[in-house]
Amino acid sequence: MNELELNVPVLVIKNTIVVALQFDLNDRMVQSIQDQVLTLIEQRNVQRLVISVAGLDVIDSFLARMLVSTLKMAAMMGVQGFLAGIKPYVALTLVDMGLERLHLFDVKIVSSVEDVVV
Amino acid sequence: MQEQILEEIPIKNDYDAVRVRQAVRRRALEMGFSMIAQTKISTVASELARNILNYAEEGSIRISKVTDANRQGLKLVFQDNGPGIRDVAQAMRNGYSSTMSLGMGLAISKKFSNVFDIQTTEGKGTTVTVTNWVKSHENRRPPRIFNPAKFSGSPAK
Repeated sequence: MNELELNVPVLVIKNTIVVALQFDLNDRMVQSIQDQVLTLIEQRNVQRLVISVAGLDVIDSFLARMLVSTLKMAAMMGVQGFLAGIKPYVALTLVDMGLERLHLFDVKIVSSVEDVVV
Repeated sequence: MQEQILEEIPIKNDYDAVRVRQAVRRRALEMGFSMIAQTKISTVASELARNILNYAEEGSIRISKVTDANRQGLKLVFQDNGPGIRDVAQAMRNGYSSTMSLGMGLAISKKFSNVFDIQTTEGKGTTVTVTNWVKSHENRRPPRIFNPAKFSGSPAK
């Protein structure tokens, strides 16, 4: 679907792929972002990947697992991955959902994209 | 207990799941739930809508406002005519320990809701009902204030 590709901003800034999730995503879009990011890693000479969730009010178990798996796949391709900008209420909800269950302990977390792209 | 139906939304595809999440959040906001409660209730809506799409293909949600003597709540009923769940307890145990998505969604929904009920018949379908009550300001205990005077002097033995 074309709209999926158009809707999700994936930028490359200074050897870093920046994905800013800005609005409520459906599952197919989440899957599409993962595909786009992995393709971009293969095509471009990047060293880091930052996924910002600062624009999201809800992160459910599916999205959390997809974010973690995208970052892990990037790691397998030699790219350092970061999750950035988790909102306080989302953080609290994720903690209550169980960080171990969601494998969120396995990824590096930063407060904002600027922490990675200097 | 009085029940007023606010909205009914069919759940047939990914876009409906997003619509459900947004509608539930809007209703929770209107009813005066805290930000944390809104986030948890929206998460529950997202998990249960996805369970319907993944395991029953389609179903629906009914969003209601419930009122009893001194409190108001948001009631969500997720209904489908899918295959049903053979062993709910087993599915939810698995949900806690693994990444099995059906059980995980149910386990999270139970944890995040004041009232959780599931009715399921193999071959006929599943109905999950979750209710959350607005924590009214009057019912909340006043914050405990640290009083240094109480802690002066030697520690209690």
